[in-house]
Amino acid sequence: MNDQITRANFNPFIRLDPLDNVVIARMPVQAGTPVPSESTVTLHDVPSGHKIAAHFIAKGEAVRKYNTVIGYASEDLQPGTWMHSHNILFDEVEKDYAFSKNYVPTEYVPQAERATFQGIRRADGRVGTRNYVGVFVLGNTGGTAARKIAAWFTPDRLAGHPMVDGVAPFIHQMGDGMERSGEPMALLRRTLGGYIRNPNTAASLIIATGMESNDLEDFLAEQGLQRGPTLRTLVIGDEGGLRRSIEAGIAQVKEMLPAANAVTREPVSAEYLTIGMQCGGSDGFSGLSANPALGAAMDILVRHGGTPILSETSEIFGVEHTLTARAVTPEVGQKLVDRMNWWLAYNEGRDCQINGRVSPGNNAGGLANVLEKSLGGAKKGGNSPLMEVYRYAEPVTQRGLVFMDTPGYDPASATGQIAGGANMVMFTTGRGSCFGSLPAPTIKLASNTPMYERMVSDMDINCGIVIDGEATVQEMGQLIFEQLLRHASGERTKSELSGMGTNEFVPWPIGVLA
Amino acid sequence: MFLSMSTADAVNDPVLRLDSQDNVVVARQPIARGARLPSEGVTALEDVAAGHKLVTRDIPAGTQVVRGGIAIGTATKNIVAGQPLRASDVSVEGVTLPSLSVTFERPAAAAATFQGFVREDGRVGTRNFIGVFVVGNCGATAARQAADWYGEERLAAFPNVDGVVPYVHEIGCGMEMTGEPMDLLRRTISGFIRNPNTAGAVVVALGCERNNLKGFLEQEKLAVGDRLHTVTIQEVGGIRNAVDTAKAMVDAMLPLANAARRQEVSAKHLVLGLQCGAPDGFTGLSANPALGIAVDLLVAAGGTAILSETPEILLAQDAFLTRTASPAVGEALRARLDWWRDYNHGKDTQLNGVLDRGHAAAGLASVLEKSLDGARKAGGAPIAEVLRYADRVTGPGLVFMDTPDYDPVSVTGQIAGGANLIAMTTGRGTTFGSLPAPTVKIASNSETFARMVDDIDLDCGPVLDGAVSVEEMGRRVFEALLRHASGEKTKGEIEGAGENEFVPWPIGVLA
Repeated sequence: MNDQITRANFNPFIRLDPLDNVVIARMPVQAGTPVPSESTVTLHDVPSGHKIAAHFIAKGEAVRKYNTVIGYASEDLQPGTWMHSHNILFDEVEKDYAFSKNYVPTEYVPQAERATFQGIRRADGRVGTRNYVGVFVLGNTGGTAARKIAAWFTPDRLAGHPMVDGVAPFIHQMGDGMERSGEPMALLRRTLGGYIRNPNTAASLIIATGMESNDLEDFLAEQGLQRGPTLRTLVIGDEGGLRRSIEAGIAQVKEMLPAANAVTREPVSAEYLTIGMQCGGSDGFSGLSANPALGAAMDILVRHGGTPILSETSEIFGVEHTLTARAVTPEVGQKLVDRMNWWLAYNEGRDCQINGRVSPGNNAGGLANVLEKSLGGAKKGGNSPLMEVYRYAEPVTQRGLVFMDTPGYDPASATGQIAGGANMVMFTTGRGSCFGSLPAPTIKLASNTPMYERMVSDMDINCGIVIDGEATVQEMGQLIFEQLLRHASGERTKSELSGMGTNEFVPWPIGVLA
Repeated sequence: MFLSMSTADAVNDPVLRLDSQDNVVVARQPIARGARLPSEGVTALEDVAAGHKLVTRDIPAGTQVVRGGIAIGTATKNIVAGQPLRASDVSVEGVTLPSLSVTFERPAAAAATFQGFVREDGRVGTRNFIGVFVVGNCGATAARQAADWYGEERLAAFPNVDGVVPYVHEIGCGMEMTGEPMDLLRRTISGFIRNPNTAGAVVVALGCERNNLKGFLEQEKLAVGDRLHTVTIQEVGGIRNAVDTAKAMVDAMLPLANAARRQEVSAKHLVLGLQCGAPDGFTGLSANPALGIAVDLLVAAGGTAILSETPEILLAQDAFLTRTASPAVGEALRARLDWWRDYNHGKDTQLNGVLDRGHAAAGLASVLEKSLDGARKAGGAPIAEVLRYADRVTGPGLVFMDTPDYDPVSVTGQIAGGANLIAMTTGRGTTFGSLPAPTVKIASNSETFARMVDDIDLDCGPVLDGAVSVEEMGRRVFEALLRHASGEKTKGEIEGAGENEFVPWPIGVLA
């Protein structure tokens, strides 16, 4: 057992709000441990990140964390009782959306005083944080060719083009054998188009077999894309097979390298940062440290003119009112409500987290149900007003905090955000997700120090220092903002150093196969 | 409807007439506008591409288009003799296929054998691969990095091991935690682990995914041992450590896997997945009937063939419901077909009557024609069993496994069920490949074969020319399958295809 527990003044439990009736263990705590701040003693062993009743909670009484209801007691609970999914009942929660009642316009930092990073200016005015050549496929059958073409461009072979960060393949499992029209095809196309247009994409090669439902010419026309020095296409059927397609593809990419390389980094305002926010492998700490700290960092970014994108719709279920209340207009707030209702229907009757049950990992980490998870997750959104709500992979054009409808599923969610224009992704984790993405890289924020130390080769920022009492949430937010600017300027993230990002391109598979 | 033409006719005649009742003929080669076709008494009014059909008698709107003696649709407008038949002018609404009675003459069972790896459970592998699997997408990069490490040089000391293959997919988390979506994913992954072509497996987990590793192993009754290891990224401290750990596990299994040797076994141990990939107007005339003959030979030898691609079956359902081995099998098949009708109801898929543009461009005139042609690859044996996606196939005989038409998903299900070889006919040519059970690709015509000779294994074009009978071509296909089963690499394996086509059917919703 940790020495610190025996020191009279050290509190193994964290209280988030004076009105809460639970407190959270910042480390594993044995049964029989005194909790002086709550005048109680633990009645059970409490795993790290889990909760105890701070005082008597009657059967049916609301359980409050962050002064928000996360469920109801299943029976009378004595103070010191370990609280988790076995004695916290998940139930429908009353919603008062209070549209725009708490909307406060952002106080922007004057232009001349805004933070800057070293970015790559593009012709359309947007700014990239990386400079990748992408090899895209319209259908799964192009995958092998795409991977082999991209793999040919090793760091040695790219040495003559030092401004090109790499040649990355973006493989997926769709494009054929699917609904040929309607939202499934439209979504796939705008996801591919969004990646091709992302400011971190310097040039693109698109591979088609010539036979997929996701027809090449239709795709280009629909997405307003035109072949040119930085956009080439290749049809495997015309080239005559895999080998010849790989040779032709390598030649095409080589031809695009000079144009892709002809860029420089220059100081640009932080307003050009569009950040996809993610939670993955959440635990009981995520909502106490990494998420609120990221929220604080994003509040700073918004004041500097930037755009954080909150997503993972099913994971704000139960706390939508915290966003609708600060929506810039009721119409924007209503869009969010509409999307949530869509999700309730889409997941109805299925064993999905919106219906209460979180993943085994979330559960083991101390999250009793989806409401508690949502409460913590929504903290990443900080306090800025909500300026717009987008559908999956729609281009994000509005400045400020926006919401994009995506699944909670990390790869699918980040894919939608990058397609929308995110040039960095920031990912909080408690259990230790190893997610990575391209062409917009992922910065990973650990919610607790033990995990950060165990997985330091995959984690970029340790927000566990908040749990440890070494930094406030606001201070952490400032540290995060500064590190974000460094990564945006070219400093590699741990996930880039590990080679992550070419298996995590997952356009949302909505629709049926045929 | 087997082609039987004398060599002399075939070589001279640019078109193929399948039945005297037909009001269309198939262009064996491109036909130029203005070309006169004396055998049919028509002049081509427009260019007709090879594999497409030329209309030989006026087809008034609302009357049937007949090919091979069977109506494949009705004309949606007046079609004039001499025009090419366009899929957009053909409707299948209200057209039902006649009940086709199939007389199955079981061919004399020759003592067919191949050289295979006999496994502990008695099943036989045609290859000897180590696989690196993931329970969820979060393990994908680690799995690929571990498997990619094993290039030819590193495996040179293990000549009996065909390779180390990653099987990554896009789901495993953010999905329904219980129910058929999770059950299907789990039995698909475990089916590959158990496939007789898999000598050993490492399963990579992140540690917090919905497809929980422990739950997966328990549900699929898998136990860690000499040939099955697991790595949890969060436990070993990140991606790099996980890759190193996985490699150490593969290293430990390589000598074991390398100890396997091929021995002569009866062809009854072949479990052949049947596929159509990118069919054209020729596939039903050459490659599919030839494969059907090979399937009959395989079934006669006691082997197993797996027919799938349910939407195609659905459109030709009467042709199949009359050839089930028992009423119970027929009921099971009907139940799957009903499920599909609901699943695709109101969606823009071929099941609702409209052909994919690519198939129309390849010369197929209707979804009915595609289905009829597809059915030919199954030969004449009765359907002995109906299986869910990725269920274990026991056979023997011709069995049906419910899968989508979509090739990677369909093949993934068949291999999960135990297929140790896949046969795929193709009209327009495809670079598809599969592992650990490789795909033998069979072209319907010689132009495609020549154009993609690096990717396709067999050419059934000579059947169209009349140079080789379907029966003889079928025999050659069967012999080629046995050679590939015995270790002769398919073009797909030589070209390195098969590591991106593991696609468990994503039934269900994300969360």
